Amino acid sequence: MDHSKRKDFKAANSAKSSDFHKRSKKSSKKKSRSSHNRNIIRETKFVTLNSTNIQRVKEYFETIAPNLFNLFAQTNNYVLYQFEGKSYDIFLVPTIMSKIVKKLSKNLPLMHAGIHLGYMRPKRTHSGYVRAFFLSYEGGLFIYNFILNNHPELLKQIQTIELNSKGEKSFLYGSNIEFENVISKTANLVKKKLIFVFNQEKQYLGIALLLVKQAGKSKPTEPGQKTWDLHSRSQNFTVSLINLIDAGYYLRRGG
Amino acid sequence: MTDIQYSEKILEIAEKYNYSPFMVKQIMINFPDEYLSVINAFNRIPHETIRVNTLKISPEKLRKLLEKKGFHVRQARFEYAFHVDTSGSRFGLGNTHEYLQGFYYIQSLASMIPVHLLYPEPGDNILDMCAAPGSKTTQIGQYLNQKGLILAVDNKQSRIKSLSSNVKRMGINNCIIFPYDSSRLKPFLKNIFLPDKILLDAPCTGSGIIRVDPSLKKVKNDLNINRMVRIQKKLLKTAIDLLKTGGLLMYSTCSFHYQENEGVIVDALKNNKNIEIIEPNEDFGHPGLVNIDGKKFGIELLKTRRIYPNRDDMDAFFYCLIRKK
Repeated sequence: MDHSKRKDFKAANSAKSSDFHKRSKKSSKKKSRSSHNRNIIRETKFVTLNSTNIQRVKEYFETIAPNLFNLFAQTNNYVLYQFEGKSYDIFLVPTIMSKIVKKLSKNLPLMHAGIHLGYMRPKRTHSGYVRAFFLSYEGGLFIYNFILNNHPELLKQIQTIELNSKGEKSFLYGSNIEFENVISKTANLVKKKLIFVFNQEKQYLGIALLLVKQAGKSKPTEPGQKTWDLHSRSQNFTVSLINLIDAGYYLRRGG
Repeated sequence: MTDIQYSEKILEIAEKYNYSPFMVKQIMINFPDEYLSVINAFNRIPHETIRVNTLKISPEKLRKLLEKKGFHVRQARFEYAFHVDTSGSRFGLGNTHEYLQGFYYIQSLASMIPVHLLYPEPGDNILDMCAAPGSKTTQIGQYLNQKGLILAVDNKQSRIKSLSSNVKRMGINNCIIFPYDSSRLKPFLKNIFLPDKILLDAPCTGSGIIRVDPSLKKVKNDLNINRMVRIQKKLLKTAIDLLKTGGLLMYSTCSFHYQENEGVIVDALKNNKNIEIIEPNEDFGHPGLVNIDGKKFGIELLKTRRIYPNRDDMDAFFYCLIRKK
């Protein structure tokens, strides 16, 4: 029997259902208030960095300067923590703070502690996507200051570039760096090695990476047409300085 | 129907200055001798003020950098604060390189006072109960100079992002942030974190910042005031419970309604015999209200402070420094 066609039933039914909705709305409101914070705790985690992720961070540090991670670990001033939630962030927590962070994180949904070093994100490789560590803007500044203040002998091994005002503006807008805007740089920039970017006043702007791409001929116009000139592989490539992160992200990402 | 309860004078002022009659009545209650002057002050455009992040740069150095960009910089009341006139520059204060580097924070002068009066010292444990978006948290960080610990809590998870972003930008390394209802913190902080000082910049109706948000002129009823008062009392009770004996608590709001200010403090004094109001040793603002709207609050309340928009040329604020005995 189709109840929906009966007028009297529909009226009675709708009255009941609206009553029910009112009640359910009330109860859901109450529920959301009481369970809101508990849900956050369940959804997020703030724990010390596991060994796999420590290895990832270590590998990343090697792209800045050899043995940097070990030198850093020797200081014993910081403990690495990871925040697991919608994002996957890595924090450097001062050792003095670490004990309290550990205790608080058992019952409270900690989201930030100490210095934000970077984050774990999927990285595209030849064999697919793998989880990798990426340095944050603050992390870059922290590492540069660490080298500058504690291990100045490493300054020769890290890569830096200085931009003119036009390059600075463009970089802070999130654009890649054009070579014509580079005023000075460390002798030979090497690919896959992090570059610290500064402006003319030696203020830290962010980090970049030298990218070397093989440049092929134009796209094939006909099916079956040869696209790559095998003989020119060693000469035909483009070099660019890509923006990994810059200070402008504070404005672009909000906050 | 609601218009009947307002006198002709109120309605006339409301129409002339584009306020709701309710707000005019509230201003008349809270500023009985100078309400017109207050209404005029609320119509003025506020000064743009910045707080220099002394963790990263000295005020003199920043002043030179900003002047180079065409800003007209004038010393404000604090040595680390400047009034900035941006009319002569093609830049805005929120998008200069110095801003991105965390050399300064755009913050009104009145909102710098609570932390200044609380005076966090290096090594202190500080609890900031309603921290987002982080103006006062980062100011505390500046006072602590990376020594000590700040626990910054805010109920709204959506605002935590901006709090975290500002803490990062200003280079504060000794801060722990999490979203939580501060009034329920007691069981979790017991035996783990005992604050030396607490900042309770309580959520409020924001009636004191009409200059910044003119839409507040049109508030029609006191429902929001009553709701805020309930939250403020709950938060203040938790703050007193959490504070260590001998510790200091700064209660502040950016509202001029006595119910959210003196009313909340009187209630706390009644229910907690172990607290006392401390008179700030610096000359900021004017004594709190003792006799208002037919209510008598007691002379203790003279130790609280109010900022008047007409007398002090700042947003209307309320501060009360409390010590736990």
